Amino acid sequence: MMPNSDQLVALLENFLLTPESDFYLSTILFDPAGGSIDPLKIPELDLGTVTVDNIDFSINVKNLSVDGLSNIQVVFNDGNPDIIVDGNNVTFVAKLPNTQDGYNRPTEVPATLQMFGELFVAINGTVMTPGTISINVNSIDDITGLFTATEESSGDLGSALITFASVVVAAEETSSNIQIEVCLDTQLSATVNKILNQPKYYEKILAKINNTAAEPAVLKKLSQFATQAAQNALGGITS
Amino acid sequence: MTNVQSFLLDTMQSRLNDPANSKYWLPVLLKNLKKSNGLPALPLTKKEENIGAMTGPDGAFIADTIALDWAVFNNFPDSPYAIPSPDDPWPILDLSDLIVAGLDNVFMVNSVSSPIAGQTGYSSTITLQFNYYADTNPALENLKINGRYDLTQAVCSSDTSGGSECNGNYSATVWGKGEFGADINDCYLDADVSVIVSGQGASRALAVTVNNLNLRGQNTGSNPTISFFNVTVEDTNIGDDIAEMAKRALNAPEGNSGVILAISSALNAPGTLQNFSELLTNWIASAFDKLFAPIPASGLPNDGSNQNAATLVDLYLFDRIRVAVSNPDSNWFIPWQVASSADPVLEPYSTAEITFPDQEIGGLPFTGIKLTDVSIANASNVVPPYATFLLNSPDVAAVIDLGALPVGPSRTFERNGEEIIMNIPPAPPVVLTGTFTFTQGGIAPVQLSGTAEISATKVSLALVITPSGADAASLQFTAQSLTVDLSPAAVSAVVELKDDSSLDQLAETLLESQDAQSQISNALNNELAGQLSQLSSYFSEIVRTAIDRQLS
Repeated sequence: MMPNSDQLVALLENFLLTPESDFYLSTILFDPAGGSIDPLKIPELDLGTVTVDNIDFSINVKNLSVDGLSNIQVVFNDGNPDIIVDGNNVTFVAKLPNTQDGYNRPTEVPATLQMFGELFVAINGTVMTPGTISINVNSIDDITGLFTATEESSGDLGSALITFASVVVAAEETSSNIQIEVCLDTQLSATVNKILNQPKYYEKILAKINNTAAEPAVLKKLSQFATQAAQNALGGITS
Repeated sequence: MTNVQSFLLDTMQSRLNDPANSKYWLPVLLKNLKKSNGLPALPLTKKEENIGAMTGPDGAFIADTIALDWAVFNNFPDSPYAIPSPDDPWPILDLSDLIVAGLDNVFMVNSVSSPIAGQTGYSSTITLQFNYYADTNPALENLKINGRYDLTQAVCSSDTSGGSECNGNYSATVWGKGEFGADINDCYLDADVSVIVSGQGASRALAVTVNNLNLRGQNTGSNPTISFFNVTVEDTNIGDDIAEMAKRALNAPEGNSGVILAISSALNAPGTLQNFSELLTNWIASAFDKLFAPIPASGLPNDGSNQNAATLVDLYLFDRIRVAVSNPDSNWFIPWQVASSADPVLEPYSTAEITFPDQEIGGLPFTGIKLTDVSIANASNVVPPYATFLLNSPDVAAVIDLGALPVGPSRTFERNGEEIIMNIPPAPPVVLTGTFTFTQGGIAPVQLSGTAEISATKVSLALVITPSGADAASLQFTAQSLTVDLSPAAVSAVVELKDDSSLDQLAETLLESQDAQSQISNALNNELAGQLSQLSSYFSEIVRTAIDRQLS
């Protein structure tokens, strides 16, 4: 185990906070090949059935791709980064978008959090032709991440292990912050659009993101990617 | 340095001429010189020196005078006149039982050396002056010769004074013999001496041959001044007046030349020259052994073909130095000299700071990487292997390995007034220790510090020095260059950061990188370059002192 040490913590914080670093937060969260948390793939998001004017709308989203979760930066309070280290546990609080100087947002990473998926709507039991759904989140005030930093072999920084325990997103669930746009080949498309642009669905969507991010497979994948980054940053030169 | 032989002779000159130098004062060396039978070589003796017929004006005068004296002495009634025998008209002067004393009252004036053709060694002319010391205690005799003379003259009676024919009435051989003494002044000796190398390969030695001893006066071509005293007549067949003729004969050019020839031939007698040659051969061997310590059983290096020496004598001297600096029993043993160095102190060597180039790790710059309060230990474990210690006249080049010797015995010595106890040489490897600091750049730069220990197992120093100076007192080694080569694979760093072992490895990485190692080399090279003249002075002084001490 890596002992708790002010110097190591300071070093890790500096890595996590500095855009040029291999262990920069935005860097370890983004992998165009899908190895990290941005993009995040949500296979299915069941938004349930709602009845409007006696018409039942069953709304389901499939293959939702969440892009932009890496466009975040650690929050600074009074000049101090919002990072808490307790033993091997590191908790950071970040926000979206990342406006830090020196951060070069990859072209694949959108300026806001954007989701795009296939939309399946059944109206009174009649399945419509599938459409698409786009969701835009302008900003996220609070993305809290928790990971542990350990060494597989003691004293060998090249064996650093980063294990993410959670990544939790909390955003303002208002229509000014979140916009949903559906595209359905039906005259009721506008109705569906109107139904979904409500805080209730904003909440459902964010909850789904959090649930997905909490899945062991997702955390494992993220951990592996971050571990590689940490090893590159801390010990890559020894190999 | 004109040449090695001049250097050696000039170095010895002040010792040979120093009455306070009990080992090498020339009069003492000569006084103690023994013949092969164990008896003192000095004073020189010579059984006889036959000057023979004196045919010059003095001879004629002596002949006439003796003839006249003979006539007067015998007072022949019928033959009032006498003349030198026409068949044998000249007086004959022979010297015998000669003893030349005061040859040890001698001073070395100067010497001129030049390489012998073929580079086998040097021939030198060493000029010595006699009667130099007037008030030593005990007193030294002045140069003088004592011996016996034998003066004869054939005479006959004649009818006329100054005639040219005997009248047949009387004839005789007039003789007088006795002792004489003579002081020799204004006397110089040019000694032709050659120094070559005897033996082969590992078992070489210097051989000195005294080829010729040329007695002369103050100027080349002039003769010494001879003052006879105490010319006695022990026996004669005409009366004591012959003493005057003996004095005249001795003082005549023939007599003077005879005395000089007697001394000269005594000096140049084969046995005497051999005595002097052996004296000098043994003397130089003993001086070298004292200076460099005796040659170990393994002998001298045997790689002359790799060396570019002016002569075989130069090569011999160079080989003695190579052996001496590698020989723990010699004062020249480099680890001993390096450890003894007091200004600057080299073991351990301290320097304020070594800075390293910035590095990037994990995307972040690491800057301000430096070692401060640096101490470099065990760098005195240093030896130039014969194979990389090369004479390239006049320069000497060496590639010196650090840390190649096993740890040596503990020795105690004083340095800057402090008692030092140290293994000579110290155990390898070379170790740099210091305070290590660096800053990780970024949004929230982090400065880390701790102690660092860097071990380097394969370090070599390339050294080029030029010796100069006419003699040991002005001997100067000028280090032209001294550079460190750190073999990159052989450096390992151990860093202990303050309160934080988890980052030691990161810091070690910073020090073990190729960049860092070349920077350590550069830093040390800069240090050495800055110290070059001081190191040159220091080691020149060491050698001057060593020579002075060993030759006193």
